[in-house]
Amino acid sequence: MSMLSITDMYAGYGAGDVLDGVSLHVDAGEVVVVLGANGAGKTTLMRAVAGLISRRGGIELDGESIARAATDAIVRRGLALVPQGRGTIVDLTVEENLRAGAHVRRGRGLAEDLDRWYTQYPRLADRRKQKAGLLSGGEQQMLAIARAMMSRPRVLLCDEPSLGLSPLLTEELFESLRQINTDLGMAILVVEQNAMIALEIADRGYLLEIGEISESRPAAELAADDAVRAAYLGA
Amino acid sequence: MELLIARLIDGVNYGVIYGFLALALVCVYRGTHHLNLAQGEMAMFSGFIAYALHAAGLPVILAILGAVAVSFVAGGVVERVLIRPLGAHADYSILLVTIGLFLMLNAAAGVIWGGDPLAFPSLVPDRPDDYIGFFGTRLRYLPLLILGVLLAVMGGLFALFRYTRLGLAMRATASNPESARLLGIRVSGINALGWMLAAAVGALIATLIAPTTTLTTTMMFNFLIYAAAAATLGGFDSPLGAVLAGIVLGVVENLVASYVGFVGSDLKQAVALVILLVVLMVRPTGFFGSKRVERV
Repeated sequence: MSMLSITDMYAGYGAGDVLDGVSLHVDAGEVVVVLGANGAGKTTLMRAVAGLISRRGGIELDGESIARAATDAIVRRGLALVPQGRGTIVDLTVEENLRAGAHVRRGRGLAEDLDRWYTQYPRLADRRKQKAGLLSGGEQQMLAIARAMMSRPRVLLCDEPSLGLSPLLTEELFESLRQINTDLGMAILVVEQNAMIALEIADRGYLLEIGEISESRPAAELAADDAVRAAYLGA
Repeated sequence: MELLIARLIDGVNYGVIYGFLALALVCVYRGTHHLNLAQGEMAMFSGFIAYALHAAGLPVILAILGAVAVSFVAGGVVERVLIRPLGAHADYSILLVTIGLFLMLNAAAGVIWGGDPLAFPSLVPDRPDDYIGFFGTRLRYLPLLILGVLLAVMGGLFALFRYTRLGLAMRATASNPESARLLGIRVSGINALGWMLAAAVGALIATLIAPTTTLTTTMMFNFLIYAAAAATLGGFDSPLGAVLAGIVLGVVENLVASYVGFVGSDLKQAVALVILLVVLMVRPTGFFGSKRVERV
């Protein structure tokens, strides 16, 4: 059973479509990566699924259509997006960001979840009273993931989490995504330019090129494919 | 010395009104970053509604609360019917709509209640000999009441923002609307709530100052200019900043008008605008405004 299933989706910004009939699915408990270069339409894909831009085509979350739902309704139904650029709410403190993340749950089990994510990302715990705008890039990315998880989603979408981070931090961050997947059985869809690291934690991968998407292949097979390596791994 | 204290008190009294109306402007601005030019006229209209309720036999306090309630709902209707359909990025269209609303409310009030000033009773004793002596000057009850109500409203807003889930959602929306949507917050509802709060605050202002200014269709003109200046000084997204800036504006303006010979009462308004200009040259985001950082 697919947790997230996208069928023949078109989306863009006014003058013409950036996505040209994209289909993909993420099964329960699975990590799926979409690889693509700059301008391939990765961010458009994420924003279309979350309802931030207009789109046509089928989108189902755990069997229910969200193709016509507004962003807030989609989030209430269990989809969380970590946007590109992290979407830090800079005027709120770290803890207020996390609390706002739990908005759709009306505060039930808030304390346990705060503990859960402070344990996962101890650096956030140290800075819980600080304005989120003062965090480093890596900390803001952790905050963005923790904030998304505070809504207790059924599927987590991450838009280029490695953007602007050092290789070491990127490693740490993807390791935490892997833990979220294994510990909570969370279905995760990541779009990335950094193919190597993303394929390490993924089960399957798609290639997105100028708005068109390939069939999915196992992550290990993609990582070993010479053409993929040449295009996305710089090898 | 007594004269100075009297001037200071005068300045604070005016400044409180500027800050109060600036607070209403901020309530709208925080959501969609639009200046509601009709905020003063909405308040004026609310004042007339209170007048009508009082004329229909309600006690003053109930007439005021009734006008506040009506305005709260009407503020939401205005947002839903006139503002939201224009979309989030229709900056100039929305500015024009608020000008249209300004003219419409002004004309409608004139048609319904006529051009002559109407008297509105004060909640507290306000005859010439009703005052508290204070270092040889007079503290009158009505300005004290206005200050008290302003503090109560500020306290209420602070508690709302600081301690409630709704308040946190409002702050998140003010800071980063897109992230707020991604957290499942109904941003359009939050923006409507901003208009509703602003309209209710406006109703309080108009009904509280009406015993002094009388109810006229032009009663809010000057105040709106000062309030816009105060909101700009305060940073436009900071309620506390707007109120403090309003009070500072009132005090400085009154002192300059009294002690700088050539200014007098004729150039009083220019003083406010000069202060505004100077502050904006030094601090473009105002005293309390948050800096907007553009991400690449």
